[in-house]
Amino acid sequence: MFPFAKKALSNLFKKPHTVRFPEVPVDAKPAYRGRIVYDPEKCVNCGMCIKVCSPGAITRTVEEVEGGEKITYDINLTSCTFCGTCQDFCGTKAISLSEDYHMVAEDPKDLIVTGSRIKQKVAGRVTLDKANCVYCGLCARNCPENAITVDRATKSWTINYDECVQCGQCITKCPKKALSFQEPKAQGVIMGGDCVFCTLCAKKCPVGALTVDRAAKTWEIDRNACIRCGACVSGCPKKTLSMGDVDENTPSRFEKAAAPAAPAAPAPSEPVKAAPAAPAAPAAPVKAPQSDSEPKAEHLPAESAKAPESVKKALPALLSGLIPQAKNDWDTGVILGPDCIYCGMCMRKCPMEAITVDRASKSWTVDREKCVWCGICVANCPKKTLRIGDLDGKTAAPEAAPVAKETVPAAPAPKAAAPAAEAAAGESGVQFGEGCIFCGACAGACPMGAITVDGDWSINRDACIQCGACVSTCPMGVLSMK
Amino acid sequence: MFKKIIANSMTKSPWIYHVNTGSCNGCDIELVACLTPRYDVERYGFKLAGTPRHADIVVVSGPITSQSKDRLLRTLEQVPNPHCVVTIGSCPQSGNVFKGSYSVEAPLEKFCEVDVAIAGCTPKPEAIIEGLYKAAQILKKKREAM
Amino acid sequence: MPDILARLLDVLVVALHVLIFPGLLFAAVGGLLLAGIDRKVLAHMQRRIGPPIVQPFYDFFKLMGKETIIPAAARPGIYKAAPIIGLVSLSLMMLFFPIFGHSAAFGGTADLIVILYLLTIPAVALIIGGSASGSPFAGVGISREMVVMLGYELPLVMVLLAVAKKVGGSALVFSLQGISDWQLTNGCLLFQWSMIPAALAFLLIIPAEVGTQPFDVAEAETEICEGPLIEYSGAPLAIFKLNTAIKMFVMTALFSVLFLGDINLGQYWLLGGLVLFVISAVLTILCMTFIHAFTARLKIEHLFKFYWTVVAGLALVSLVLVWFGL
Repeated sequence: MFPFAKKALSNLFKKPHTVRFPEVPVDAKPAYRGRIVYDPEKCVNCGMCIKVCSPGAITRTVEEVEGGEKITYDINLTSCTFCGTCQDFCGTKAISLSEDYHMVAEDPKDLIVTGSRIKQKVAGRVTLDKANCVYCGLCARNCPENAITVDRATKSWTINYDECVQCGQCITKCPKKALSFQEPKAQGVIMGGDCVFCTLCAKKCPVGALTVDRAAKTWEIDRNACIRCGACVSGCPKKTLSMGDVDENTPSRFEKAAAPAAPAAPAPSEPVKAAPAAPAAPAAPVKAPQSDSEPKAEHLPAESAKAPESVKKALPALLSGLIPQAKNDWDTGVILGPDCIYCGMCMRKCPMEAITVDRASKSWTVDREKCVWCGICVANCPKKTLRIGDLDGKTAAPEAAPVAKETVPAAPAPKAAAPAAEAAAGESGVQFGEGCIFCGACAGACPMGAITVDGDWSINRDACIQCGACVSTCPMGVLSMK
Repeated sequence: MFKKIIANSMTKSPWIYHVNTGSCNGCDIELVACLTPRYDVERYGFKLAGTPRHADIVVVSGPITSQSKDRLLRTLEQVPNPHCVVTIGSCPQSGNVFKGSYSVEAPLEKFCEVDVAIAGCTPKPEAIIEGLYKAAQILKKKREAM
Repeated sequence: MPDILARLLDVLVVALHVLIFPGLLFAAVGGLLLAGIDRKVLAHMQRRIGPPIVQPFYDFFKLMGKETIIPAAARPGIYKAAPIIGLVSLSLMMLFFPIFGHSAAFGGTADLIVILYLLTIPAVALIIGGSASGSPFAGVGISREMVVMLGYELPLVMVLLAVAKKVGGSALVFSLQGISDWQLTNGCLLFQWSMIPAALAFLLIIPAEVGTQPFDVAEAETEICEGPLIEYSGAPLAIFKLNTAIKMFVMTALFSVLFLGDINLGQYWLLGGLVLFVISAVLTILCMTFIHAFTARLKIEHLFKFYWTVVAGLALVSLVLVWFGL
């Protein structure tokens, strides 16, 4: 009837359960989240803790003092939920939760944990070395202020310097060590390495700052005239142009590749940029001439005279370094496959108007002189019968006869990257298909840097994590996962 | 002598009145845990009182919702002097994660004097005992000043 | 002149009896200590340490030092007088008890009937005070207090009748001194088997009279916030708390006088009597504590039913047995 009567009686002769707390000190259990400890010496003032604190218990005050900024962090324990997120997010472990639970005060101000330090001014600002960047996005994810935006698909990296607090988290987190504090540089259009001299950029430029010579394979920009509108960048079919810091000291990838082919001989009067010039070239004050073609160099002085102060970039093409001299210039181009239905889509899409298709006579012709093998026709071909590949001697158009006529059926051209495709065929992972234009988008998209595109396509299977970024990035759709 | 006995008794028999002003119940549970056999604050004469008229220490938990604000203030007015106000947890001090809500009136300091603040979310029962003990000492001081 | 002096001395002696022994002071100290023992033992039955035994003293003095708030809805005069009325009646009651070896301060032929009336006065004072405070919670509390009173008064009268019949035979004896004297010669009433049901009934009446679990419906702290006491604070509340403690003392004293009787202690009557009294009081209070430890509060209708069936039944059994001369 009374189940607890026996219990009550027996309890009377047992030891009480009570913890004699104030007399006997009690420690909190391990991993108890108590009083917050803040070490201002470790803090880099990134503000991540402030951002992740849901009740807004952390505040920061910055005072200008001599020699830098005095940064004070106030952590209000009367506002804290003791969730520990600040501790988890702190990159330098400057903030942590101790096991001290004795947080009792008559004045709530005693419950504010505070710490301050003087931060020396950092010279420069966060700058990207595009040559090393793999667009993995780690810097953007670790930025406490969300100042960095990375788009892997378009290989773009942007930073909002108004939001950047120069905490350096992105620099320490960068796996490729591509970020550093640098003095600010002038902004402008930058030429990447894959220019095919299609002249589309020059056509798009509203102020005529660009000059492209297809024959001489030169691309130059008048930086004084450039208004940084980005029209050329968006118009570039090879996506080789970009906006960024104009770095006068580090040569671009493009020039690096060209350098070994032509022994360095800096033009004496080149004020800003010393492009590698061939020893045989006549003295060209502003621009280095094409190394293998004397007549093409002849008209250059006239051009440079037109804009003497302009910063000019002479670009002895990557091709000059890669292609053997014995071969014709245009040994790469669009090749027609056997399935052509002469729909004319390639003709309409070609930005250079290099292709002519006549449905009536079933003829498909390409002007090799105009063709920049940008790949737009290949991408738009409904029958997927076009591809970019090596032209053998027969099909290659000589200088004298610029128009090459192809008859149907076209002779099957050798495969573009047969060795790479064959090597990859046996293994699972990224599969290399036909139609590669070697734009390098896959290499840029690969967060692991496993892909190398350098005239050939190769992948380091050990480094590949099979994330699929290259497959989704590939503009030609030649990559697949297996 | 009689006054001294009364002043000493103040520290040894503080009765608690607990007001929940929209708390998540975490602090309330921990306060009740102090009364359980494990912590047994009755060792020091602490007792939960049923009405504010009997209370010496008013314990407030929760972020003081608009609905409970008037009731809380009415309750506080009914407590005979000397009395103490103790806040448990972050909510009554700052509003905690509810800060900025249209229906939250924290901090409590806007409305009355807070004698002891116990931080934690929720505080350990040990911390609550410490805070209540401190409040009992303040009660004595207040009585001596009366 | 000596006549006046003798009168004055008489008054002084009565005043001492009322105020010090066995009146107010003795009852207050004894009652508060009993309450402390009750709380301590209860704590140990719940496997905790519990407050010190002198805790009720701390509570009392603390409450004396608190501000007294008189609610706007209250009748101040009655509100303040009610606890005093209860206190006076309780300290008067102590004068009628012959405590082991000590004869009662005020002897009489029918003091048991006076005690019966005096016992109701603290409860009535509580009802008056509660109703004067003007709180609806107090309203609920006093209505419950009245039902509890009705509940335990009937069995209490029956128990007292049974004792009076047992002691007096054909003539009922309503004198505590008489009952005590009878036990001195005939042994404790508790050991008369016909009186055991009556003793049990009396033990069950004590918690209701004092207001402890499971019969604390009138003051249910967690339910109606101490009922009639809800608006009280400061000194009046202290006196009400003291009243409860003294009532506890009075009820245990009554139990020991009625059922444990008197023992001839010879020359040790002064101290020995007191020690025996304290032991019997503590034993009685432990019975209450034990019931408190393992029960929960009853509903008011269950309480009433319980007293008028079980407790009254026990008292009736005793009464019938005594009536048949057993």
